[in-house]
Amino acid sequence: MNLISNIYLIIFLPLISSLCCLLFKKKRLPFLIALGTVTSLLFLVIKILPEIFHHKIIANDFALSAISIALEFKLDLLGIFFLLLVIFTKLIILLYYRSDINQTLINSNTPVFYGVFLLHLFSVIGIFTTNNILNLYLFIEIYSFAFLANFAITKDFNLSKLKFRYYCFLVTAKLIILFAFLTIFLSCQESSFDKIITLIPILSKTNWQFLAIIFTLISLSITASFFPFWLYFKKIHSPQLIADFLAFDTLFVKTNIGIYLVLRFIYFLFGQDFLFSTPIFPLALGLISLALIFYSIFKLSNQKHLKSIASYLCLNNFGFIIAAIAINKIEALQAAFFYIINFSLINIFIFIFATFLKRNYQTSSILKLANVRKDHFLLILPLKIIIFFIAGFPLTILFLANWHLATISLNFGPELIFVIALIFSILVQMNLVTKLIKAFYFDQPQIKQTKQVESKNHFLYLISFWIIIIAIIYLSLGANSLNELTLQIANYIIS
Amino acid sequence: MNKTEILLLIILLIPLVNCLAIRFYQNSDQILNFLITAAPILFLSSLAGLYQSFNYQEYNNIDFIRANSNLAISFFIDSSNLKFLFLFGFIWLIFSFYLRRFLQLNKEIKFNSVIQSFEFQMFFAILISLINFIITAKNLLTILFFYNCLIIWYHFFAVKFLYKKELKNSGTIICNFTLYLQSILLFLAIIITYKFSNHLEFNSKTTILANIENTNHYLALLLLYFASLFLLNLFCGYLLYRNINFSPLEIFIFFALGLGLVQIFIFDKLLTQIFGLTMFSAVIKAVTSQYFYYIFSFNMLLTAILAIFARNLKSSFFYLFFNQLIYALLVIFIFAQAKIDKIFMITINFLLSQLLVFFTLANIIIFLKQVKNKEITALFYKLKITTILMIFAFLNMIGIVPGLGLLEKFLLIKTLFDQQLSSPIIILTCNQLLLIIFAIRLFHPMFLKNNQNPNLEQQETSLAKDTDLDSGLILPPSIIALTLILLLFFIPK
Repeated sequence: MNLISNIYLIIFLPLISSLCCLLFKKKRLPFLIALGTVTSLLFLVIKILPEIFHHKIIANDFALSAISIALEFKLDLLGIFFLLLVIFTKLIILLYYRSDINQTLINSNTPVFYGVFLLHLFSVIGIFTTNNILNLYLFIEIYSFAFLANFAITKDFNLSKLKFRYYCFLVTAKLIILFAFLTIFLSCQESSFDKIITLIPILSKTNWQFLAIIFTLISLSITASFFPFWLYFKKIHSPQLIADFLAFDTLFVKTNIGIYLVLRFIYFLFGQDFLFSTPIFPLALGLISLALIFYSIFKLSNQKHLKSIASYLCLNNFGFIIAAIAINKIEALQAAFFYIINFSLINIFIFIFATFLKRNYQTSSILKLANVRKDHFLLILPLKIIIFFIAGFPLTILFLANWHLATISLNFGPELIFVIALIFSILVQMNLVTKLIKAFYFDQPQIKQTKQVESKNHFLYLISFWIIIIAIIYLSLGANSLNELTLQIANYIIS
Repeated sequence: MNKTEILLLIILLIPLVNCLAIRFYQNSDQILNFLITAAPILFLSSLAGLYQSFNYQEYNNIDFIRANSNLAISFFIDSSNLKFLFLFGFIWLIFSFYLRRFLQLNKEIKFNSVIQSFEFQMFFAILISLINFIITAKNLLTILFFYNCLIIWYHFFAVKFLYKKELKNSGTIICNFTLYLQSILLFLAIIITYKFSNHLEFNSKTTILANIENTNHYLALLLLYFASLFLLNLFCGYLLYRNINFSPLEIFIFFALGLGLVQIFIFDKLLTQIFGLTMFSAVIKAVTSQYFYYIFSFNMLLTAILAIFARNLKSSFFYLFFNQLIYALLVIFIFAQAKIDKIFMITINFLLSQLLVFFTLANIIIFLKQVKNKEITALFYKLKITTILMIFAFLNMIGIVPGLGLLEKFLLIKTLFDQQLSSPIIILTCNQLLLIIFAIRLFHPMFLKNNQNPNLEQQETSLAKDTDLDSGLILPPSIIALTLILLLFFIPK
């Protein structure tokens, strides 16, 4: 099969599998179909990765109409990077939360759940592969629907309330996006990103205020739709099994899509010339990033629950991603990609380990680690390994991110503030590591021995933990390729 | 891979394999004892093989992970780190002999309840591995990696071997925080070095910062490196430990010696391969060396006074350790200012003297733990060999017995007069005088005779004989004392 066919397969496979899930309802078949689809997608993406890196952009544009759904595509370096990350995340979510989903759902709901899960994946792939703003809107719409459908399976009253509030929020945000997209379409008479970006400089000269308003509206609605951290923080300690699944999706999948869209809009729709020609935009980004970084540092310094730790680490990484965008240089963007990888691997691991603790020891407090150490050597070993990655030891993913950001920020300029933020951030991370070490090797006398991990779940936990840790170690050992990869993407974006 | 690289790989792996073997055979005392002794012997023999196959013209290195041409975790061997590896191997061997018996006694007399033989051996083996990696590091990033590991390991040590109340002590928390700050400062210093020179790898032909022309940049970077290595030591970090009960002091010192070796080694790299002695000397002379002397002298004299007035034997030796570490750094600084590369000699003298002091101190503590009378009065008549060795260690530190200490003092005085450095002469004289006072205060009661119950005395004498003539306890310090004397004749060449 050639490259184009493979990309079409990547786009349509989840849609076809989604239908299959609804057709073949027997026992574990829907789960196996979902698992098979996600695994196949991961292999397909890895297979086409070298070719995308060689050509940088693979597009199939028939110039059909304003809305062509998935018949046309444009897969570039940025898209494939996020596609890989999100599919990997989806694989982990599918494996790890299998038992939770089974416990929460009644049998008749299982095929629907997995069907919606795959539809959700289809929309995500659509977002990453489209080159058309109206198609993008359509995929965002499918994405929101699938997310809310997943939400709907919970019977919890509080979660339902939250769902309704989020739904209202989302509807408003999407209406604003639609309004902004239509305005761009009407102003430029084009729906393709490639064509719009060539017209933006002309528009900015004649009517920059109008463009600034459109940009602000899009930024606000994307922030509301894809970075709803409040949604996660509010339900962080919910006892509901499905709450963790949703929190995971909100924190990792949604945020990754959000970051992708931010980069897409800044560099491939509005363009650097328009946004970075005045200091207002970088200044605003810088202030937001500093607020996020220092808030997360402040919160991280006194956290004892792994779930909260994972979430504030995410905020911290997110802050640095924004800081890197504000600097707008190749090395800074390289740092941003390392932070994104760190965000999607290390933080995911901490998060799912927290949910594991909560399932089996009733709390995600790090004080329980001594108990886990006694009970399950193979389950705790990945967390011990990850300590090096949390502390940002040389040539780990976090280190490379910090390295690139510090190299570019260590000048006598306003960027120097990010170095200060970095110092505080590393100190807090080191402090976190010492907390973990204490928790590992100090048996807490007040902790009673709680119930053991059920053996049937044990295997899936083990697989999930080790898949992530192997991926992390593999990336660190292949630091050369990773560095080259991020450099190419950063170059592609800036150029 | 050529023969030298294979041997380098073996040298890197021996301490690591040793760690795994200790973990694997934790329940078998015999195998553990064998491993403790066999690993350093194997290490030294591989080192001897490496020395024979080592070619100064060839480039022998091993890349473990490489992110780009400059960012890598890699190891190499050159004449400078070969010397340090031999010293390290020797100390490891001597230490292993002592450790076997020390841990055996620890088990028999419940000498220290917090120490568990296997855990301590494991801790020690990992410490050895980390030091080995730092000595063979080919670039600054590799040093940073293992320096961070060492700091984390230090914290692990504190968690494992200090008491819980000590962990909650604000001093310990600040101390850990400062160590982390040091690692961050080293990270920043490395980034700035990279920005100036565009490479981070050690090379015997040129220094990394050969192309810096601005003196202020040079000095600022030097200060940053200095802070990243000695912030805790030179800003009274030792005072943070004043409320800690030094029950496991010997273990703490074993660790501190390791950290001291690493810091001096990195300092050596800094002077010889990053800044260059010529440039260092020129900048220090051009700007001012006074501030450095103020910091050194303040810390050195403060630790000496604290050692004299400390509450107990262990605390006073703790301060003495810091005093000698700061003294060694000051001497290195003075020699470097005079463009004399004597860092290796100072390192040997510092490490061996301190090891000798703490081996003999550990013997005294082992003895005192077993007897009812906990006073050191008349100890000389009971533990003659141990006391003589301790006196030798002190005299070597003061520089009045034929040993490496004497040579070091001689060269130091010669350099000070040649360079006409007046303030260091006063500082060092004061320190040596304080050291003499400390030695007199310590040894005076040991030579006094006390009137004790004859039965009790007979029992104590028999116990003292067992300790003093215990080959496992007395042979390692004796070898060190002999080495200190022999080095007097070999080092000048």
